[in-house]
Amino acid sequence: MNRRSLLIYVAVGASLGVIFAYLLAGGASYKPLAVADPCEERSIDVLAERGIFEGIALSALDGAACELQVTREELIAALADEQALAEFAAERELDAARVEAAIRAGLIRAINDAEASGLLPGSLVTPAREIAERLPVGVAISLFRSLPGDPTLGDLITAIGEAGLAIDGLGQQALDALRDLGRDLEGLAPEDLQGLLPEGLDELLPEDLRNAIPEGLDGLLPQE
Amino acid sequence: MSSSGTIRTGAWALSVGVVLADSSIVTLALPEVLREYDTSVFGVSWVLTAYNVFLAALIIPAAGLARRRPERVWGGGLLLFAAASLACALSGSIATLIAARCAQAIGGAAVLAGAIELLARARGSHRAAAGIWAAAGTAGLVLGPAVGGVLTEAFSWQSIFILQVPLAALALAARRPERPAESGPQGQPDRRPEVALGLLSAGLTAALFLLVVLLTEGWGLSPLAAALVVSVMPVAAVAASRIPIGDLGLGSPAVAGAIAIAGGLAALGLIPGASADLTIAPQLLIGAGLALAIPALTVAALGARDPEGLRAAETLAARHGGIVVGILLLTPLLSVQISSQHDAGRDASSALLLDAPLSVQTKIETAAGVAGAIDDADGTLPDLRPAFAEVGASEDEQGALAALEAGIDDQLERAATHAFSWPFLGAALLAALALIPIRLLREGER
Repeated sequence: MNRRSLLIYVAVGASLGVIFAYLLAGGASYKPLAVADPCEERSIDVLAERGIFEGIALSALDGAACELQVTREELIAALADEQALAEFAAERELDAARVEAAIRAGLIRAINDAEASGLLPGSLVTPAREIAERLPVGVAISLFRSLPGDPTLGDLITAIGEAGLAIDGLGQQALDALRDLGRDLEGLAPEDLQGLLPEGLDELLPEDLRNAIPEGLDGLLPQE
Repeated sequence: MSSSGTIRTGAWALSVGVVLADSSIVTLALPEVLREYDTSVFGVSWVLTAYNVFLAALIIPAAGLARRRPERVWGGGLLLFAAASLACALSGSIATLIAARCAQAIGGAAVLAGAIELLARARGSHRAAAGIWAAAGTAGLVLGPAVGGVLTEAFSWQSIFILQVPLAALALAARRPERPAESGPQGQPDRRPEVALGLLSAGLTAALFLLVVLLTEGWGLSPLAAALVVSVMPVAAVAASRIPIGDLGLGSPAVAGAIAIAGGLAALGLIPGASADLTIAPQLLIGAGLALAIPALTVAALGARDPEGLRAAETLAARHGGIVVGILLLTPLLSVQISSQHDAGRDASSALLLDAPLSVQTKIETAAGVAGAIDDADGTLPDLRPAFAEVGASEDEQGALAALEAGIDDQLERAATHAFSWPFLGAALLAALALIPIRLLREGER
C-alpha cells in the first residue's frame, strides 16, 4: 500500500469508525418518543389504575383522536383554547359536524373503556351513554376544560349535571338541581341521598335517566 | 525577505483572514441579532448570505482592477470594509444590517483581490502566493465563529464589527509594487477543483452554521461555551496541516479531506445524545479534512500559470458561491425540521405527561408550567426547572414528578437535536458530491 492510498484509507476508516460508533450508541434512533396510535386499545389495567375522571378523559381523547386520525397529543394541544382548536380544525379542514362526531366517538369509547375497566358502575353506564350520544359539542369541550384537579364523586355528578343541561328538553332548573346535588353529596351516607334530590327533578329528567341516577349513586358510593 | 516585507506580507494575509472570517464570524451572534430585531431564522440567515453573495459576485471584477492598481484596490477596499463594519455595528434594523453587510462585502472583495495580487507580486507568482492566502482564509473561516462567540458573550454582537474598524490602519502597509507577478499566457482553466471547492465550502458552512445554532439554540449553551466547543475544528485543522503530505500530489489529500469532511458531517447527523462532547470526534474529522482538501484543491484550481490572478479570484468566488448554496439549501431544510421536531417534542412531552402516575391536579399544573416555559423559550430549548419547582405536588408524587421532568427534558433535547439531523446529512451529501470532480481530477493527474 503506498502512502497516497494509506491517507485515503485512514480517512475512510476514521469516518466509518465514528459513524458506526454513533449508530451503535443509538444515533439513528435519538429522536422524540413516537406517540401511541389512539385507535389501538390501551391496557384495561392501566385505565383501572387511573382516577375515574382521568380514565374517562384519556379514553375519550383516544376515541376522538382515532376518529379524527390524529394523535391524542395533537388533540389535547388543540383543546387548550379556542384559538388552538380553530387552527387545528382549519389545518385539517374539519367542519363542526366532524369535530362533534369525533368528540361523541371519544365519549362513547370512554364509557366503553370505563365500563370494561370497572371505573364506571354498570348502573351509570346507561345515563352516561345517553349523554354521550346526545351531548352538544360545545358542552363536551367545556367539560374537558372544567375537569377538576382532584375529582370526587360529587364532581362527577356535577359534571353529568352540566352535560345534562345541554340535552334537548332540559333547562336551567335541572342543571341547578344537579349541580346542588353534586356539591352536597360529599360526605353523605347513601341513605341520605334520596332526600336530597330536588323537588320537581323527576318531571325534568327523561325517564331512563331519572331511574338510572339513584341506582348509580347507590352503586358508586362506598358501602358500609 | 526583509522585516518590512514580512510585515507587509503579514498585513495582506491578515486582511484576507479577516475578510474571509466575516463569512462565518457572525454565526454565533445570529441568535442575538434574531432576538434584537425580532426576525425569522431565514431572515437572519441573510446576514451571512448577503455577504457571501456579494463577495462571490464581485471578487472577479475586483481582481481585474487589482491587476492594474493592487495597492489602491487593497487600501480602498480596507477603508470601505472598515466603514461598512462600523455601519453594521450601528445598524438599527435587520434591513440596514444586511445592507451594511453588502457594503462590507464590496470592500471585502477589493481587499481580497488586492491582497492576492500584492502577495503574488511579492512571491513571484500567484501559485506561490496561494499557500499564504489560502491558509489565512481557511484560518479566518474556521476561527470566525469562535472569535465571534467570545466577543458576543463578553460584549455584544456589535463588538464583532467594531473590532474590525481599526483594520483600516493596515492600509498604511501598502506600497506600490514594482512589477507584475508574472507574464505570459493564462494557463488552461480547470473547473473541476473549483466545483469541488464550492461543494466542500457548502458542507463546511453547514458544519459551522448548523453546529453553532445546535449548540446555542438547541442545547442552550452560551456563545462563549459554544465558541470553545467549535474551536476544536480549527485546532484539528492546524494539527492536520502539519502532516507531511507534500509529496502525495493533490488528488489523494483532496479525496481524503473530502471523505473526512463528509464523514464528520454524517456523524453530526447521527449524534446519539445532546452533549457537546459528542461533537468533538466529528469536528476532528472535519478540521482534518479541511486542512487536507482545501489547500490541495486551491492549488489545483490555480493551475500551473495564473498571470492575471483571475484563477485565484475564481477560486474564491467558487468557495463563496458554495457557502451561499449551502446556506440557501440547508436553512429552509433546518426551518422545516425545527418546526416538525417542535411538534414532535411537544407531543412526546404531552404523552409522558398524560401517562405519568400523577393526580389530575398535578398534571394540569405541570402542563400549564411546561407550556409557559416552552412559550417563553421562543423556539429554543426551554428551562423546565422553574416550571416544575412551582408545581404543588404531594410528597408521594415527588418521585414521579422528578422522573417526568427528566423525561420531558430528554424528549425536548431529542427533538432539538433531531431537527439538525437531516440538515447535517444534507451537508454531508454536498461534501461527498465533491468526490466526483476530485476523482475526475485524479484521473487527469495520472
